[in-house]
Amino acid sequence: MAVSAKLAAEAGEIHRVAGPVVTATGLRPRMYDVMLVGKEQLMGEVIRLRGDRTTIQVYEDTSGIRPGEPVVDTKQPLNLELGPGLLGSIYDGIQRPLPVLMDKMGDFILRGVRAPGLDRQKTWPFQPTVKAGDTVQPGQVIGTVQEAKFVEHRITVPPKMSGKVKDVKAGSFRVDEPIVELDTAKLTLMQTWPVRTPRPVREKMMPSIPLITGQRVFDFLFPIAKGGTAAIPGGFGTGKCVVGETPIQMRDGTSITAKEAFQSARGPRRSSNGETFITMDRPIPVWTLSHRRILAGTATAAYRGRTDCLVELRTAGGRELLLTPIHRLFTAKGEVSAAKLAVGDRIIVSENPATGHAVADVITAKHVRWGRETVYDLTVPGPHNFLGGNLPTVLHNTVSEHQLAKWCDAKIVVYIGCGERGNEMTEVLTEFPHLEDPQTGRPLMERTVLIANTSNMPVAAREASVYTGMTIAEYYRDMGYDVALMADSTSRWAEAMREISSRLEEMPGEEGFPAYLSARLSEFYERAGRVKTLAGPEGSISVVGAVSPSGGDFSEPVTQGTLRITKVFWALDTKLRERRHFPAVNWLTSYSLYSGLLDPWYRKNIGEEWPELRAWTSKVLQEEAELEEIVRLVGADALPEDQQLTLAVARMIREYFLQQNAFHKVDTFATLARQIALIRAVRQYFDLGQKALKLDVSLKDIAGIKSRELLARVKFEEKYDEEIQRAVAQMEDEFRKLEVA
Amino acid sequence: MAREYRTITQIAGPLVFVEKTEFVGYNELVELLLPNGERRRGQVLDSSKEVVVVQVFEGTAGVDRASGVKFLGETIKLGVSQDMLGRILSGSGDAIDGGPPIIPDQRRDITGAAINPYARDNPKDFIQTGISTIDTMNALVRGQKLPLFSGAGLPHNEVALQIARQSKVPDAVEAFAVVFAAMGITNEEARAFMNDFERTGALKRAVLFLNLADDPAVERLITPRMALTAAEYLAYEKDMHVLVILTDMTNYAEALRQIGAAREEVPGRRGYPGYMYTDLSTLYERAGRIKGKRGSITQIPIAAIPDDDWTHPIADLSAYITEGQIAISRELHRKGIYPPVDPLPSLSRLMGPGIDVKKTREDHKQVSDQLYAAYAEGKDARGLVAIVGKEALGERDRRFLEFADRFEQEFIRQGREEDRTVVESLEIAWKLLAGLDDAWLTKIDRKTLERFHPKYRQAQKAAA
Repeated sequence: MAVSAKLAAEAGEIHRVAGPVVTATGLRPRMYDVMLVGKEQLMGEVIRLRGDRTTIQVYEDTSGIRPGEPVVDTKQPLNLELGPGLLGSIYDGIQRPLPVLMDKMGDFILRGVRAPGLDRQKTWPFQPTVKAGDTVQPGQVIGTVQEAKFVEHRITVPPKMSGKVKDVKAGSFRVDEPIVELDTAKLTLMQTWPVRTPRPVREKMMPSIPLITGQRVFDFLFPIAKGGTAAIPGGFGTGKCVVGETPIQMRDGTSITAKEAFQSARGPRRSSNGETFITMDRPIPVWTLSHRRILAGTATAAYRGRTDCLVELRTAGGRELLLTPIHRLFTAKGEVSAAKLAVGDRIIVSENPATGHAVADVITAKHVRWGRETVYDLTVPGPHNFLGGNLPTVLHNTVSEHQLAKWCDAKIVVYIGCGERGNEMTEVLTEFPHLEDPQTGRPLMERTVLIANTSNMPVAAREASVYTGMTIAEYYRDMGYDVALMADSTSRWAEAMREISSRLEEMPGEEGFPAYLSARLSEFYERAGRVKTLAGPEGSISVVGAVSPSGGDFSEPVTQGTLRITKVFWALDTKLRERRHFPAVNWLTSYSLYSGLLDPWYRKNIGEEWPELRAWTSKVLQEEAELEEIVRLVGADALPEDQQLTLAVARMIREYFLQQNAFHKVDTFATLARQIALIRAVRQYFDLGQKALKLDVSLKDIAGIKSRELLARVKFEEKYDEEIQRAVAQMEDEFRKLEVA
Repeated sequence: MAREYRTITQIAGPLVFVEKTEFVGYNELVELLLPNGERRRGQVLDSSKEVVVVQVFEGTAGVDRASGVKFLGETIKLGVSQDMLGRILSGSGDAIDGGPPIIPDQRRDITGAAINPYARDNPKDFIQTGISTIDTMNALVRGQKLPLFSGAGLPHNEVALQIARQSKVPDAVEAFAVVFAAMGITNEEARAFMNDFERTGALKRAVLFLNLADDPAVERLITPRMALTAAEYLAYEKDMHVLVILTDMTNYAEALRQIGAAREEVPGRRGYPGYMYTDLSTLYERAGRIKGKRGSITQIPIAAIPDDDWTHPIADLSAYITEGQIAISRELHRKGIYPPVDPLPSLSRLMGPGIDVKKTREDHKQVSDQLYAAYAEGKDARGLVAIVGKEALGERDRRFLEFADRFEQEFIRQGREEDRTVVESLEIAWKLLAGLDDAWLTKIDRKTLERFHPKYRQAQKAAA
């Protein structure tokens, strides 16, 4: 960005420097416009205006910068350069190419260096698809550039622009040369877009096609749709909200609705983006459930917020419940989120609080309801403060994310390393260029954009990095492509917001995070989705965001804010990691709300029995969890043989199917056809086993059949399909022999 | 010559507020002249046209409004040279071993810049520490940052010393150095380190920065930065492989909290400042390797975590930045097992690339996974025994229980001077795994099993 003499003449002056926050005087800028700070012209963004004072968050280290130095207003918001050359690039949080920075300033990131996001020297062969005299609309394709061997870069008319084509050029051009001249403007291969503004679309659509990841636990049990959102936190989540009509039992025997409780609550309140949190001056005495016992508790705070998805449950006892998907209910096997409950599950409810007894009620129907709803919650400290939980510190969410990036069937991958570890980012940076793309056989990097802002790089650039990634994703979506965006980690992003907010001495919200935290989170995830672009074709952005709650405290605001928005929750589990069960995704606590929406697709494209097999698999795994409680008390031998068989099959599901070795050349990716073949074989073993038990074959013999070992190793075999057929044939044969004997 | 101001208007904790100064740069170095002639150093934390806030490293005791303040016009720098090896320096970089002052070859800014992620090289050289639980199950690689999470009264320093003493990279040619930064540790602990360095002759390839418990707390904020600046010089200018030991990070975090409180900042969790994550990352992220440079920086920070609570911000935030952690376990320590490294909560995120066939042995990964799984199952069985008694255990549980006991006694336990090669460790592992049925060893493929399992090897020997 060259500074014109005119802009320089209007420069203001630094008044105060405190870390990344600089205050200047003598300027009349707009919010979020980019400023060049100090003699070294460090880049920053206006984040507050007060009187004559302009507060700027600076993207670079401010050591040595003094009051009195000049500040230049560029009169532009933070813009990205969008055009051919993005793919394969590695950027920092504000779209400076890291390799160029290295050329300019060596191995360490110094400051005051600017580099354009797109290479100005490189030329691209442009093939126009419009001719003089055509009328073009916003988003319309005017020509193509072969950006990578398998990626055609569609040059589009920028949003808000249209007109009649006066002149079209063909040939090779640099990104800033005019290629198409309209009566209203000259178009180049490159366009710019402000990072904080979502690019417009014609219409948002329902997510009904799965994003295939090749990871069995995701595709089969907890799928994400193209255009969907998923969260990978470390451990277990809460976020327990109910709709307004839900009755709350008071200790005096009466009951009030959640809405009434909220409305009658008086005390200090905090509100932002439709969410309100009231700390009650007069706590209300209520009954709560704890360890299957009903205890007296006191609600100290009331909450009202919004959700766009609810789970509706009906029980045999005539109860109707409407809950957010992450609201946990007590069941025979502990607390389970509403999204995870299935018809037939028993939930524990309070029948008569005075006696302290809880009774079980069976779920008879479950529906997922879409659409905006207002939800309420009461905070009861003690049994219901969900502090603690698992240790996120030792979870390995990056392996799962890298696997997703590598294998998912999106056309374009945008990976944002937001406050990530330097060495892990290096792993991505060195690994990606060598990875072969399973879809094309070319390097995966050819359809990837990496944004790397490690934890020790300037905090303001970290704050901007997620928007940079999202804007690039939107640009490719607007060409009609499916884009997968991974953000690791959104908690680090939120912390950057907190850090800047505290330097601004803003009134802090929960845990020192700014009050606008949840608004920013939902704005970000809202930019995901399957859409009809301005010009008509479909495109999508699927977002996988990692959250890393500090101290494993899932009630912390970032996790809560994220879980309220995302529809898929892949719960990573420390215990599984310790057992070397990878991916360490807990099958009992994870959930996906897309399963129902996606089932028609699976039925049509993979196999009719897909949904049924999934339900069976979940059921066996849940039964295992229930049986294990008994086993813990009386030992496995005390169980009837059919239940022992269930345990054995559950183990097979876990070890043969769910475990997947990211580093094994075959096992690292499983096609949907292979996934269903494997689970079908396990199911067959179960059915044959049950049949054999009825014919008085001993469990030991059933467990001892040789084909089980074949089945265990089939996922590692190059000739997977043959091997699985062989295993199944041998299994049938062995069972036949057992039955005859 | 810098002007001297006598315009201090406020002193709060370690902070001094100075008014009516020239325009002073953020982070600039400051010199305070006390009425008794003493000089102290500080750093600008906040600079505006009206007031400059200075954080004084040696504390504000004895500073009064009449004290002079000089702004030196540069950020804090450390004079570095290869002659630092074998020297003992104070927490702010002055020689305290009675030797001559260090004649600097370069003066480097102690804040350090972030390594361009694109310039980083993948850490993948296996470091053999000679400790079985680390080498086999949580291998350390060059350029990694792997903290020891410990608690009060546990022998983390001994473990760190053993690692420093025994660490080697098979076939390495580059020189090896240790940079040791003590932050608020007791004189006794520091002595133990120094004695050990002297006894083993390691001192001549080490630089020690000592901020002891009775040294000013604020100085702890610069001690690790001094140490890392020295390490960067040795690694990237002098081609050395540097192991940096930072102890104790808890004291560092407390100093950070103290400054935050003095500045009346909005505190985050447990009173620690909201920017502690970013601050810690500017230390930990200085570990690494750079493409085209022969040296490397490996960090072992030590944190005695208050109350063994891993959700404490120090442990929690550290673990989000470092590539795993080594857990020093109170339970194993109580059983009298040294080194009390519990492999289950320990993790080395960079182990994968460090242990491929060429670097250690091809069965390494599988043996490691199997040890994890088997020890976890054995510990579960131990939990069962507590409820139902040993008699009620099934065959499988009993055998895993036995495995867990032997694993602790034969694999985890080793001598303070015992330097096991990774192959020796793997052999012990196989001996223990041989006590389990083959069918239970699900993490090991058939080929590897037949090649390394003692049973098959004996059979092969017999056949040959």
